[in-house]
Amino acid sequence: MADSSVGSLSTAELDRFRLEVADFLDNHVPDEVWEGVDKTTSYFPPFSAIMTMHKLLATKGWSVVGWPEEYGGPAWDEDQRHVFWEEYCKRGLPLMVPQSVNMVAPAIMQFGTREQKSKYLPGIISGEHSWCQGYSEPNAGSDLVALQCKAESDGDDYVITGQKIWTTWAFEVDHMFLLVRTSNEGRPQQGITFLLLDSMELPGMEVRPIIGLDGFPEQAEVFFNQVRVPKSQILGEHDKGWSVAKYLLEHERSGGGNGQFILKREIDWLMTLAAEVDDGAGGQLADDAVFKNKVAQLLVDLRCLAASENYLRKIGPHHQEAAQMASMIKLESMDLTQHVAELALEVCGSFALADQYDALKMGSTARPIGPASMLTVMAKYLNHRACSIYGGSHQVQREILSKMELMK
Amino acid sequence: MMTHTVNTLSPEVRDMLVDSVQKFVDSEYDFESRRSLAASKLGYSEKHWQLFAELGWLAIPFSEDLGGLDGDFSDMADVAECFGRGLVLEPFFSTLVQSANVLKQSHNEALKTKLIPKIIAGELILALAWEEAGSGSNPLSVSSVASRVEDSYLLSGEKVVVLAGPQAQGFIVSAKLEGEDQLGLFYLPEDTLGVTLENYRLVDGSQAATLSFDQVRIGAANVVSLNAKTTLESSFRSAIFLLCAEALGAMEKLLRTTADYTKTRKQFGAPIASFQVLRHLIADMSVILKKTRCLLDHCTGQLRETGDIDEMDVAALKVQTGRAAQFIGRQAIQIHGGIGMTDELDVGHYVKRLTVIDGLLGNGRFHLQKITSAL
Repeated sequence: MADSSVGSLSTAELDRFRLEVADFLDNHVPDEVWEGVDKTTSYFPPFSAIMTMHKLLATKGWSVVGWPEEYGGPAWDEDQRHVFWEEYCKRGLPLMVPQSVNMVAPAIMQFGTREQKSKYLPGIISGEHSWCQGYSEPNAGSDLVALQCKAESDGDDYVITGQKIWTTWAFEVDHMFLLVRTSNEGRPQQGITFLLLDSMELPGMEVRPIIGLDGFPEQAEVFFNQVRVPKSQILGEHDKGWSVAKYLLEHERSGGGNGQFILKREIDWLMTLAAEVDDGAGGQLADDAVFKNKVAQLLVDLRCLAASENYLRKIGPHHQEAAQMASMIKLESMDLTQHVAELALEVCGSFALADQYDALKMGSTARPIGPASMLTVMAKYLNHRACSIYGGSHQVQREILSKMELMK
Repeated sequence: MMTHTVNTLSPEVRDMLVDSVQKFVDSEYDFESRRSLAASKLGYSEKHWQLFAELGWLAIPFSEDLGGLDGDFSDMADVAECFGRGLVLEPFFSTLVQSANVLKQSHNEALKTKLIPKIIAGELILALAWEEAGSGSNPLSVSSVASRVEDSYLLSGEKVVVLAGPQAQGFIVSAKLEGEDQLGLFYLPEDTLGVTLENYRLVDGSQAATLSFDQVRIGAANVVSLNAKTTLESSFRSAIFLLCAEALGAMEKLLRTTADYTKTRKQFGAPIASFQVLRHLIADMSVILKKTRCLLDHCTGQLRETGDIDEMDVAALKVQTGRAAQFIGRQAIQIHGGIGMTDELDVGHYVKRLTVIDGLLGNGRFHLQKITSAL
């Protein structure tokens, strides 16, 4: 997203920068965040751990490292960002709430009024405010444009009635951006408006958490019963919300280019698990040739992913190949995430079958059942099934990719 | 593999039993009832268990002289499948499959006469404690030790993932006989001094325990076997067989649920069953289920005729059932989308049971290794 001057730092300067980042992360991150790292079982670490980390990073000016400098991003070049994410992700530290930092913020920068920018961006930078995304509805998932949650014009206000679903952390955050139907005329894309909500507790709003397969809520349903919102809360223009949504989607899909670092850590973890498991024939699974072969195949995928992410970073989000690369990276990184989780489960066998709910709760001191290193194996396996569903399902991504290839 | 005459139930009796199990699952095991049972402290219903006894299900594998129906484990495949369809929580597998199997093979007639009628009457739930942290899923790899002191044995060790451990009133525990290249099986009533249990739940809502025992004295009356290698191996085989039968039932239900969903769920103005990519997924789920069923039926036939199943066939069955369970489970969630990831829909609960079955009694990796070693 930020304009980048690639390679403006010398190797020595970059090494010094790496040390500075590493030193800060190793010495200033509080225990609560590390607990969150140990208890991360999905794409999203525990919310409290993220926000604690966000506020800590904000004190260094590092909470929005992908942002342009004019909006509060650090004056780093592309290499520094790369180094930062490598150091950050290899420690398993929680990524910032993407709905705030990588989704609504770039949309506000692009489409927001001066007032909207100064009202919303500082709270995102500091971590005082966090956002959720109101897109999906019960009958508008993969087919997002079918959304029906409506906003009727009434003087200076809109009156919203309808429902959103799969709204990540709606019960934790304090702001929401959402797509509403403001017209049924013309093509369905034309009657959609993009709204910003300053609260999750507006009169007529109700948030119901959805319990996931691991027993914890992450998603929610949000109900709107005649919720009144001033028209000044539009981002972009009335009935033109689809173009904002499309712009934002590009940012969601281009990600941070740090899947490679996250997955590198996951594969390393897989190796440590295998070192704790007997192979049933007197040795350790970590030395088993079949197991090592499987890891080797994952490492090939990891190299492809790193190369792909680095290439996308180099060409930037507006290049003609960017959309194709983004969809491809979504597919590949999510597949790899699932494959690592599947192999972890295979490695742990019956050790991984316990329900670790009590030990996984933040703040809980309950001991894991079985080896502590295997605490998250089952929850990750289950939660990562969502990787091929959220953010554009595998079927949707393949539809996009095939269209691009067939249009050539 | 031994060849001997196998007592099995007549087809008529078998059909009658399965019919009663199916009726039970249909009437008692709707999703919400199952959920509250799983969440209860006991984790199953004593009322159900009594019904199992009354309907004769707890008598199937035992000999007539002890009050049994004189059937075999092959007669329980359809029962297990029905249980899989309803995600039944009662500790049938630990008592009637794992424990009953080793008890049947015991030569300690006094112990059998004491325990089996109680099982049949629904008064005794048993757990087989065979697995250890270091056993790598191999039932013959045991480090718990039994040392002989006069007429008794002193048992020390730790067993993990003891299915139904928290619910059991007695345990059958494997241990290495000190100074011998042989394994023993010992019966430990739940109140045995020196035995400690750490109870927990598995992710599918069933219960398990870690069982530790330190210098626990077992009298000769409670020795199940002092020559238990073959017993453990053959009971492992039939337990795998029945676990796979249960998985088949769960997969059948999951495929049905998913196929039905594609016909009612609409996106892009049409039922999602109209999209070829989803139709092909359904086809693949159907194929993997069908071929797994054929392999299971092949094993059922063998078990019925010979009383045992070829080791490689069992290994293949466990590998294939695991593959099918993973594929069907993952695609069921994928096709349902977000709703498939929630606790409120039954889909995820079937996936969790299938995931647990895949991980029990040696997962696919373990059994594939067995086949590899035999090459």
